[in-house]
Amino acid sequence: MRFQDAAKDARAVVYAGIQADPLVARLAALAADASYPERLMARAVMNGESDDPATWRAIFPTVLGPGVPRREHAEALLAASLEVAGRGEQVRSQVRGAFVEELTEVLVGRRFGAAGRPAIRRERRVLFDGVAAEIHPYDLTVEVPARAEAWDCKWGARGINADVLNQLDDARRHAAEEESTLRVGLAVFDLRTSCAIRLAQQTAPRQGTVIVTLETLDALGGRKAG
Amino acid sequence: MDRAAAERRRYASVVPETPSNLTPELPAVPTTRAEALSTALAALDALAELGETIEDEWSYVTALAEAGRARIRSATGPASSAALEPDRGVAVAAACAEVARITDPHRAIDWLSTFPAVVELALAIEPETAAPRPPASGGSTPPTGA
Repeated sequence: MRFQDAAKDARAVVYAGIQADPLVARLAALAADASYPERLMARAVMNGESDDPATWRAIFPTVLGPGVPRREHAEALLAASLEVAGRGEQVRSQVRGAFVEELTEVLVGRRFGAAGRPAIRRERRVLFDGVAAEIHPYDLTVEVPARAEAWDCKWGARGINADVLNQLDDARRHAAEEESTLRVGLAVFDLRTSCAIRLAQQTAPRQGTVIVTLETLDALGGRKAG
Repeated sequence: MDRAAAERRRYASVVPETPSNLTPELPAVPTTRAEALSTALAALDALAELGETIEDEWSYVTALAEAGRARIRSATGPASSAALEPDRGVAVAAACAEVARITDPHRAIDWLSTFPAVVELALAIEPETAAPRPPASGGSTPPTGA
């Protein structure tokens, strides 16, 4: 099993610009330190229509109300989420996707510490002897011997489909055939119930794939959901 | 001024009454859990109706709406005339007003996933214990944790 950079096609070049947007990193840093209610608020705002922060403060009194602990952090997350919502529809979707990837990287990075950070890579392929390479790279890989991981990141449960599940499971199986270990998973910035419903409608193998949802994102960093 | 009128006035002070964020469908602020339940279910049904226009996602939308209704019912508890804290009523009304603004069916499906949890949070039920199991139509609850 070995890892390789994905070829840079035109789409990848454009998307790299989105990934490098400072808003993506700022939002991910805020979301990484957020609670489940704060993350739910961020998801709602980034999918919302209203650009008035007062509307969101009314909808989320337990997150943004007066006297709420960590309100300053929640307000910063609200402001960054509103910036995403303010982008045009297509860019908004791209930024949200890049955000989930960045958030996953930040959280996984916590589990491996500073020394392991260089082994956490983006947009990489996983190659196996005698097996044709997959077209699509993985959003995030951890390239640590005996602890390798491959993650796909999704804004919503609708992103879970047969292609994604098959690719992850194929990689896991091919690694096992080479007597290597590759942990595979999906990090989904959506609710567990929605992911469960989506998975229930898929026939692709998923038993060996870890699913991390909005409620359990902290598990990426090695912590139980708070 | 009765309590409902007072709450509507309070809501108006939180959400400015401008054409950009106030629609004719703006629900009255619920003052009881029973009112919150009916208001939230009506908003959810409207989202589902919009989401169902994406034919390829019909079964997903239907299952999501069913789970959402169960989650909202669970969050509101036994529907009764029990009073709702004013800010919680405002939260439910504002969330319903927000989803009423959705016109894109894809975004409606996204909201169909999020909205029940938003209502749940507004009514301050612990999400881990309030979430109902998804419909038992095959498959398993996804493993959680990394």
